[in-house]
Formats: sequence, structure tokens, C-alpha cells
Amino acid sequence: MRKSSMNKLAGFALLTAVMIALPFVVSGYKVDFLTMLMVNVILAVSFRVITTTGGWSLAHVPMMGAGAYATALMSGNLGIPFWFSMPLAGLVAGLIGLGISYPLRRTEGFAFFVASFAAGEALRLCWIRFKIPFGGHQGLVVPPPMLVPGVQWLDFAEAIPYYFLTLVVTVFCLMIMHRLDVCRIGSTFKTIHSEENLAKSMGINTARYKMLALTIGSFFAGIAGVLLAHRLWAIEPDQFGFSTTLYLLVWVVFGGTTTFSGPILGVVVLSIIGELLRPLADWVPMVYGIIIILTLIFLPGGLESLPSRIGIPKGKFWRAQITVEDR
Amino acid sequence: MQFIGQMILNGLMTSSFYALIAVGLSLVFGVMHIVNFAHGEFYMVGAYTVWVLFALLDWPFFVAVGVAILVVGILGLVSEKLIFRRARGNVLNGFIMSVGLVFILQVAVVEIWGVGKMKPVPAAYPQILHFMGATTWQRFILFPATVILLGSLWYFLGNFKIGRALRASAEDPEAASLYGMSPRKSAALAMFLGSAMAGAAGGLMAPIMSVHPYMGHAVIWTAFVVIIVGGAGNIKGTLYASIIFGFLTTIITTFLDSTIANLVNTLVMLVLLAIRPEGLVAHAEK
Amino acid sequence: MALVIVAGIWTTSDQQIFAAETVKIGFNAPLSGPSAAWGLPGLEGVSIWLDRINSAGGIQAGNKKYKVEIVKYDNEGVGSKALLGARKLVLEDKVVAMLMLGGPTSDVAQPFLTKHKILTFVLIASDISKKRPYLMDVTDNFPIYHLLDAEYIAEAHPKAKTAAIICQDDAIGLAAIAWSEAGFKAAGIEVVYSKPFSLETTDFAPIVTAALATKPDIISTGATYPEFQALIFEQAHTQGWNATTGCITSACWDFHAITAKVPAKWMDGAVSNFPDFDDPQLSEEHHEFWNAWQARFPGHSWSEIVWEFKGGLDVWKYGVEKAGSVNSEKVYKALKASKTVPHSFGPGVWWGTDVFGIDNLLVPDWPITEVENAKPKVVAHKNFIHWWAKSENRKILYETLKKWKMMK
Repeated sequence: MRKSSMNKLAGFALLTAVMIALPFVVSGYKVDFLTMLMVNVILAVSFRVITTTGGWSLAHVPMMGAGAYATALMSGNLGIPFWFSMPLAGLVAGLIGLGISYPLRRTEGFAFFVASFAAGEALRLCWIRFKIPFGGHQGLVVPPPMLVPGVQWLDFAEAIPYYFLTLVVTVFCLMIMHRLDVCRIGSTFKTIHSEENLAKSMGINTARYKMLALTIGSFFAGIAGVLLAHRLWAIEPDQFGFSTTLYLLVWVVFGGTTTFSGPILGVVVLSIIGELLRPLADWVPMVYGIIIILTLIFLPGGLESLPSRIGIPKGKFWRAQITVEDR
Repeated sequence: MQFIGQMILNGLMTSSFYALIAVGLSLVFGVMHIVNFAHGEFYMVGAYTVWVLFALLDWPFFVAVGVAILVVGILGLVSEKLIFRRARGNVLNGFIMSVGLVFILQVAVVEIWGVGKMKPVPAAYPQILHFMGATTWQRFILFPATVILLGSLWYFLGNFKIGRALRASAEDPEAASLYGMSPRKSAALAMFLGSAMAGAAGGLMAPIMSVHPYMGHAVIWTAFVVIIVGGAGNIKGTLYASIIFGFLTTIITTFLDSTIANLVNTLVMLVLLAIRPEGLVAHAEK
Repeated sequence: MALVIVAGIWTTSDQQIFAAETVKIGFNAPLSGPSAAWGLPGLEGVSIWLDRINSAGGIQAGNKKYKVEIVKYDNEGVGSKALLGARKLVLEDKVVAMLMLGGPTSDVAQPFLTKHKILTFVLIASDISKKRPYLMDVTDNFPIYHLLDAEYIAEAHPKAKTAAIICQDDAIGLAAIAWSEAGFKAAGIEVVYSKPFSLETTDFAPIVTAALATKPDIISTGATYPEFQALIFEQAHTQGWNATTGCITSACWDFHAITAKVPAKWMDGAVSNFPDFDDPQLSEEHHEFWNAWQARFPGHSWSEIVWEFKGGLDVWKYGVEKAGSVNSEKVYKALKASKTVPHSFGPGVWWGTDVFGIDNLLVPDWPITEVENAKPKVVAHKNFIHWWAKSENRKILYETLKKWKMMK
């Protein structure tokens, strides 16, 4: 037990070192790619928070949009500094998620799928229709974050400082969501998914937990939206529409949703493939489409289920890398 | 008075269009429990077929539409065999697979014919017709064409052995075998018919709307709304829903704008789903 | 800011001795999506310009010769993509100037481009602002020429009293509506319909029905996206509107797309601002370009976009030669220092301080065209500076711009 957690820690430290070194090694344009990668990781992992209760919320990407719009309005129109607008925007997204989850608390399965889609789409249509204050089809311009006013070298309009900002926020969010996953609430979520009747008979208010999951997931989606908005300096309603939702679904199904790292794997692997194929950028969606169909046919559990399918017992693969004597 | 007549005419066109798209989608869901999100792309392929044959190669218009129907029907068959069959009735998996198909078809069309400017398709029958309002024959034929296609479908489902088997399997997959038809066969047939209708819609709409690789995007959401409210799998219900939403959309667009129309449609569906959480879907599966 | 010039292409032929350096210019425009017709054809004209310049050895900047390369980026008309494109073109490709369509994309990309002092040429004058000193419009006079069109229509069609303006609800469409409305008002024509339509619109029947219900003598589609224009005209024709007392007016159309939907005869008399370059009233140079384009792109649809981006390149070349350098800032200063600059339609002057805050718009005499037998023919020339000189006109323009929130 201790050995595997030592390995995990070592692996984590290695990953951190790599992440810190990377932006200085690659070109400016690629740094932005890494930043977006992290944003998408937050999006995918927060999506999984909701799927652990069994719900596939197609309102998730619009929740990211909610965070983006909230920060655009707060930091743009109201001049609220980034430190406050980010958590506040996340809160707004979370509250909207809560608002959506209430009428949908009794819908399940396919009906929930469709209804969440409708709710998200309705929100998006509001952004399109109401030019005041959402900017309509053109969207809104978002100021680059002014975090440490007056300090020139920490200009977050530049790629590398923004990368590190995103890195810090991402690590923080992942830590919280992981904590959530392994604690009591997390296991309750999973029980609701796998043994709903049992949970109910134990007196657990399943509807309330589902609502909680949707709220928390939406909050983090909102945070992802904030990070996106302050890097792209502009948001449009089409960024949070159907196409992006489809990509999210592909990442998450490809990676798998049972383990915490499944969605992360999905985002990272597919994004890297997409970036490697940049000379053939037109073909990337088709590649994704083929990959996801093949995944569902041959590896329906997603990438995360690969070790068990090949026959490697979980954990042994990593244990081979580092041996630390357990005293 | 002319204004009202014009509006009714516009509403009739819109309802026909919705009905053609939604009924196909509904049929597929009822029989196979698959929501084919690539249905919009099937519609797009139908439009492109007509563009190539009618606008570029000068084939007669209805022949081009006929070919579009066949082409997309076969596309549906192939998709069923290669892809959807493997979902084994799992709604979520089937949906994700159709998402993959969406990407594949979009990129294929972009690579073959390019993205960029939309393809203009001339009207085959630009003569003006006055019937409650003014429109071109090209737009007007949408209405009788829809009546004929849906009517034929209805007749087929009611009066032919295979058709009745199909309708039975929409109620209960096992029931199809009572008619001597394997679930596989009924899935293939449903997919062929449903997709063919999407192809018909695309072909007929090509001279009316803009033809471009992402045109499916614009229709799939409304189709969704229509079949959910009408009851996926329930042909009659889908038909009624098409009419209601067709007129609703037209009226709201005339007086307000199309975004509000979309919004209203979406909210209607949302409210209905919230009130009946078990869903209006006739055969919901977890 | 230091100017980085990418090293030229080294060949193994004799040319190695004379290997010219290459300078890159970015083409950051919609190459797909609803506004593709305002970006894609631009590459056609640009390619002809490139061939001519490069086969003559390149452009002369001081005592150096440079070959020119265009790096294109499809921003789909979307703001955030335009910024991504700008970042890539400036940071990775090291372009020294940028060609853009403008509109919503400028709002997002300009802070970055201004910071890096990249000279940007757009086709939309209303993008010009004091906050963006390096953004210039040296070819298209949108939306200024709508004022001139209205003046011409009032003169040519004295019986026309009412106008309906049908444009989409985005920065470009709203600018078209505002300036067209000002022009009509100044010319004594009442604007009876000016509601912008949603970009999501796929069916134009109800919209045209609503517009025609106001019984307009003139239908103006300003700078509506070309595909939409074709569908709008189709509806107008179908629903029985005819240009009896007035006419149609539009700025940037795709004539092929329109005549696929309406009989060509119905478009006779339509007023616009862009002649075909084989028009007898234009110069030899114009005719040459037209012939070259026809030879290379037979069957393609002509529009002003084909030559406008290349027009920007012509002005850039003029600036480079004056400045003796390809440095963005130096070229800009050289251009502004010139009292008149050769525009595709003749000598132009800088204007814009009163309305935009800075005079970065190049204004020449602008042609007015009327369609005759499916071809736009030059029927008049008008000069905006004359229109501007009348104080009554100025007053109406300011009022209308304020009404549509184009001006504080």
C-alpha cells in the first residue's frame, strides 16, 4: 500500500517537473496549446463528477460558457479583478447548474441527457438573442487578467505567465475534485449510480446528491470557462455549442469515466493526436470520429480499461518503474 | 389579409420540412433505440447529391431527388451494418457512435467539395404560384412531396407484412420475430427508410436553403425537439409535433426573430420533460 | 520593435547568388462559413499580384529586394479565431503586415496587433479608431459609400420615397444599416424598415414578408452576407416586389449566387459600387488585371473582394518604396506622411478624424454602378469629401450613428 502511494507521489513529482519545464522548451504557440489542454482537462474531470452519479449532462459545456460569460461581464463591465471574478464566475456557473438540476432531478437516463442538452441550449440561445448584456452572436471581449498591477514581468497577457496561472488553478481544481472522489460524498455518488435502490433504502436522498453533483461539476466547468476566456480575450456563443460538447463526449468516452484519470487520459491523448496532425488539421475530426467508433466497438470501457484488458494487474505497471524499499 | 395567408403558407412549408426530417429520426429511434445524431449529416448528403446531379450535371430535378433518397438510404444501411449494430441497443453508446459518424461525414464532404462559399442550387421550378400568399412552385412542392412520402410510409407500415413487422418492432423488439422478421432485418429496414427520408428532405431543400457542409447542424436540434415532444418512435405524434412546431416557428420568426423561435421550441421541450420526468420518449431505456 | 525577416528559399540553381530575402504578409480572413465570400476570393487577386511582383524580382525596399509570401489563416469570421490566427501569424510566421476583412474580428485581434505594431489593412472603415493607430482601410469605403448611393438614387429616382434596409445583426450589418439610414435621411428618403435579422436565419420568407409589408420603393441590403442577399432577393422577387419607382441597392454581392435564384432581368437598375474591371470607364491597368484574372480563374464569380485585398498590397508596396523599408511602423509613417496615396480608383486622401478619431481611411472618387443586362456599369462618380462638406449632412450622420450606438 505504501509502495504504491510512494510511486504515485514520485510520478506526480515527475509530471510536475515536466509541466514546469515545458513552456520554456517549446515555442510560444505550443504553450497556448498546453494551456488549452489543461482547461479541457478541468472540463473533462468535472464532467466525470456528474457521470459518477449516472448522469450524462449535455449542459456541461454551456456551464463552461456560463463561467466565461460571467467573468467577461464582471471583469469587463464591472472591472472586478481576476482573483475575485474567477471564483465568482465559477459560483455563477455552479448556481446555474443547481438551477437546472432542480427541475431535472427526477429525470433519468436518456430523458436527462436530452433535457440537460435543452437546458444548455436554452442558455446559449439567450446569449445569442440578448445583445445587452451578452453581446449576441458576436459575443464579448474579455480583458486579459490584471493580477499583479504594476508588475511588468508578470504580464498575464503573455503566453508563459498565463500558462503558469492555468497550471496552478488546474492542479488546485484537480486536487479538490480528487478529494471529493475518494471521500464519502464521492462514494455516495457512485453508489447512487450502481445501486440506486439500495441507496434509497438506506435513506439517502438520491435526488439531492444528483443535484449536488451537477452543481459541483458546473462550478468547475465555470472555472475552466474563466481560464479559457481570459486567454482567448473573446468569447462567442458558438464556442460553447454543440461541436464542443461533441468533442467533450469523445474525449471522455475514449478515456473512460470509471477512474479519476480516465477523462484526463482521453483529453491528453486525443489532443496530442490532434496537435500532431496539425498539418492535416482538416482531417482531425474524422480521425476522432473513427477513433471513437472503434473504441466503442473494441474497447467500450475506454483507455482506462486497457491495462486490465491486456492482463496487467492494476498498479503493477507503475511499480516496475520505481522501487522504493518499504521500511 | 395577404399577410396572414403568406404566413400560413410559410408555416405549411416549415411544417412539411420538419415532418420529413423528424419522422425518419423517430422511426429509427423507435425500432433501434438509437438516436442518430448524424441524421442531420444524412440530410446534408441528400442536399449535396442534388447539388451535384441537378446543379452541376443538369439531371432533371426529381430524378436527382430520387437518387438522393436512394443514396442516403444506402448510407443509412451501411451505417447500421458497420456501426450502429455494435451498440447493441445501448442508447448512449449508439448516440456517441452517431457523433463519430457526424465528424466523419462532415470532413468527407469538406475534403471532396471544399468548404468556403455555399453552393448555390438554382430553383428548378421558379415560377411563382399564388395560394394564400406568394411562393415559388419550388418551395410549394415541399408540401405535396411530404404528403406523398409520409403517406406512402404510413401505407407501407400498415399494409405490408414487412411494414407491419416494422411497426410491431417499434413497440417491442421481440414482437418483430412473431412476424418472421429478425430484429436485425427490421433495424436495417428502419435505418434505410429513416435515412432515405432525411435524404429526401435534403434533396428537396437544396434549392431553397444554402448548401454547405455544416447545414445538418442547423436542422438536427429542431428535429430532436420535434421527436421528443411528439414521442420518439411514435410516428403520428411526431407528425403532430412537426405541424405545431412548424407553425410556432414561422409565427414567432415573422413577428420576432428566429433565435426567439428556437428558444421557445427548446423551452417547450424542457418544460414538458420536467413535468414528465420519465420522458415522453415512448421506449426510454437507461 | 525589432523586425524579423525570415530567410528566403535557397535553391540549388544559379539563383542562389541572387537569393532574395522573403517577407511575409498575413491573410487572416474568413475562408469558410457565412462570410467566406468576403475572404476567399481575395486570395485569387492576391495570387495574381504575387506572381507579377515576384517574377519581377520582388519589391524594392531601400537598397534591398524582397520576395513576398502570403500566409493565410481561416478565421471563419469569428473573433477568437482571428486572435489565434493573429498570434500565430505574428509570433510564428513573423509577418510584417496583416490583411484582414475586419468587423468583429478586429475588436478581438487588434489589441494584440496594436501592441506588436503590425500594420493591418481592413475592408471595413468603421473599424478605424484612435486606439488602433496601425489599422487602416486603404481600399474599401464601406460604409461610407452608402451615403453616396442614397444621394445618387434620390437624383436618379426622384419618385422613390421609402426604403427598407435588410441586414444581419452583427457589427458589419449594423454599420451598413446605420450609414444607409443616414444616407437616405440626408437624401430625403424615409426609412420604413431597418430591423436587423438574426444570423441563425435559414428561412427568409417571413423576414421579407415583414419588410415588404412596409411598402418600400427601395430595398437596400447594405453589406448583408452574400448568401443571405441571394435568398433575400429570391424572396422579394417571389413575393412580388418590383423596382418600379425605386431600385435595389447593395454593396457587396455575389452576382452568380443571386442570378441562380432570380431572373437576371429583375436585377436591372440595381445600384452598387463595384464595377467589373473590364468596364470601359476604368483604366488600362484595370483591364489588364481583369484579363489576367479571367484567364486564371475562368467561370469564377467576380466581386470586389477579388481585387480589394490586392489593392491593400498595392498601397503597402507604395508605402514600402516610400519608406525604403518593410518595417511595419516605418511603412505606416510613410503612408500617413503622403497627402495623397494612389488608390485602386485613383488618388485618395486620408479622412476619418471627425468620425473615427483618426484619419486612417483612404477616400478616392468612388464609382456608382447600375446593373444593365446582368452587368454593373459605371454611371457616375461621387466624392465623399463633397458630401461631407454639407453641414446638414454631417448633422444627420452624427445623429443616426448615435442612434445606432456607433458613436458616443
